[in-house]
Amino acid sequence: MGLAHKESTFSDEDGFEDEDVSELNEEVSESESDSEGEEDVKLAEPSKQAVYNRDGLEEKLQDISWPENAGWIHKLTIDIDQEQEVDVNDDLKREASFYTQALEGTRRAFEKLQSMGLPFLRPADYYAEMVKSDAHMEKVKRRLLSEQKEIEEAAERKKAREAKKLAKEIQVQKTKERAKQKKEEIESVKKWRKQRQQSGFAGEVDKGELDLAFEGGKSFERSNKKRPGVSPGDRSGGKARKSGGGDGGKGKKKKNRDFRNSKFGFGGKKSMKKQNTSDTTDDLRGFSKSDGAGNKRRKSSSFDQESEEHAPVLSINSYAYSNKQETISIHSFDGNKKSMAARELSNDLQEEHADDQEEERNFENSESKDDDDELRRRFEEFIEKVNRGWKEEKLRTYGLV
Amino acid sequence: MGKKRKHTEIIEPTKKDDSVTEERPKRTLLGWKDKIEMKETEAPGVFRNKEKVLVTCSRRINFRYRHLMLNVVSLLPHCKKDNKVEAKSSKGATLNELVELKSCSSCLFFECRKHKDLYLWMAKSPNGPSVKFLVNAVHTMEELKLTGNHLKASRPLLTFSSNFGKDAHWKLIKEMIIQIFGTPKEHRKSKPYHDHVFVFSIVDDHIWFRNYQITVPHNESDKVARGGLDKMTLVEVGPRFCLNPIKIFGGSFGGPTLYENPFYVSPNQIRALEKKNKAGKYAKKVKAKTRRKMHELSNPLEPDEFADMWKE
Repeated sequence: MGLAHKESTFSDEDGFEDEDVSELNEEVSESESDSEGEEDVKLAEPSKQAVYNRDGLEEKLQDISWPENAGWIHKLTIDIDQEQEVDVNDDLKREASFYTQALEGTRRAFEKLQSMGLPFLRPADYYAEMVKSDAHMEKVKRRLLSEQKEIEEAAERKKAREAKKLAKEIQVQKTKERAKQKKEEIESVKKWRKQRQQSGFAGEVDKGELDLAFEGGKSFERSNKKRPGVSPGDRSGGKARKSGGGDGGKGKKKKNRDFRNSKFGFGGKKSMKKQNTSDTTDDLRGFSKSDGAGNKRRKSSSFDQESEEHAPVLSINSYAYSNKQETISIHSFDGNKKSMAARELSNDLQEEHADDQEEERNFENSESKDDDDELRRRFEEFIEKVNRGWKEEKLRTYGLV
Repeated sequence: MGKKRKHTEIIEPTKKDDSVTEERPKRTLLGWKDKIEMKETEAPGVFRNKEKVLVTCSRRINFRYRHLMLNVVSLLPHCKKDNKVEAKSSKGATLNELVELKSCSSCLFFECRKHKDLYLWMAKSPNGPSVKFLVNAVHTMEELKLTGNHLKASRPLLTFSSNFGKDAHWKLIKEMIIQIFGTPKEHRKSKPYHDHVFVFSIVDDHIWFRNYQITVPHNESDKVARGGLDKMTLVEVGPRFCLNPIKIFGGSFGGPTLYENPFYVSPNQIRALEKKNKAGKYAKKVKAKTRRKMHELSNPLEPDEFADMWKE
């Protein structure tokens, strides 16, 4: 009955069919639906009502079976032992078991047939109708070829990728090696120079060093591609500037041509022509010195005058502002004024001892004083007025009290 | 046509007589004296297999299953293909009639239901047993993955896994398979060489069918080259299918049930259950929602004292 192994064939078949490329969607969905339901539905226990009429079965078998004397050649059957239980869900194992069964069976059958001496193998020149048509086999062949091609292509791609990787590594190694070699050379040269110095070839030191500079310097030398003081777009490589004025005769014509070539272009790239470099920005040759200097001076002097004119006004304004605020401060200002007057007196007294510089300062002060006198007067008037008013008010209040 | 019939008619009487004389005791016991007519012609004690298989299918069959049927037809040179049969409850009688009309001794009937499920009936004609299988995992010969090819009417080797001897119903099924799938020796359409092998294997209580082409290095037709058996390789030709036995009946397309697969669940039931599960999902959701609502109603939240704190 086979109760031992619970069945889950549907799920297995599902996977089995999924792997097949030519499977139809409808079929897949169907089998999927089967498998989904199957895990729950599949009867774990055999149903009790299931009929099993062993006697009937055996009787039927007796009825239909061929007589005993029917030879093996009629049946061509081989029974093969399965070594172990096959897991249905493992497609590969299952198919392998089928294959081995077929192979083993065929071997045994062929041995039997061989022993019987019957022809059983198709001769090479026996052509007959096949199960699959030639057209179909052509399709199969094409598919196999395309598959093989795909595999090969994939392999090639993979190979190329790996080669690329390897090339990169090699490149890195090469650059490293080169750097190392360079370093070593420099080191050796240095060493050699030192040795030379130490050994004291005084006479030849200069010569040697010159040579060294030539030899060792080469590696440090900047490439010819870019020269200092030349804009990247300049095709003449800075020659145009140098050859501003021409010589006479044939040379002149040629130089003219060169200049024009450098200016308007003759080959080479044009895009970077107008771009500045650090050198060109630092280069102030284009500016005439006299013009710029004169301008600067003029500008600065005018500014000085202006500042001198404005300064006192500003100070007065500030005074006025403070005066309006508080009477107390005005008093103090009054005091200040007195002190200032006193200082002036003292200044006058000191005039005898004063230097030229001091005189100048006083002169300036006096100048400003002329302007201030009127103002001061006005201030004092205003202050007195205010004070008077304030006193009156105060008196009034006292009187009221 | 006329010629053929004559031929069969000529042979039948002799066969009948022989068989009657041979197996009388058995048949007298069961009372089936004159009914067995297909099997043996043993005039001088020689067995002659005169099996003929009627292969047909139900109407509204899936193209895939129809192709499977055609593949089976191409594998069995001793079969007769017939028109589609309406699959209704009385199909058994019509099929029996048809088999008799075609003078066949057995029948393979591919019954497709709902364009989805394929059932295979394997019946011995007038009074032999009949088995109903559910067919799964169908792959036809047309699939390009199956790259083998073999002669059209060569006799196949039949290999069975040893677990066919495990039980009575397996034994019966094996016998039927041998008779139906084995090409009779010296059948007039058959070819004298063996270049393909059938595999019938019981795995997980299902019968799995495979068909392989045999390639052996050889020079002569009756001898394998030295070491050829080791170099022998098989290439799958197809078709593939898997048979799940459902029932064995005593008669052909009917009669008393002798065996019933205790594990069998019909695909209809499976689908129904699945549908139910799907439907149950929604019902469950709705139920959960209502339950939640009821719960919220029965346990109302306490009014929050800070609820209108920020509202002013």
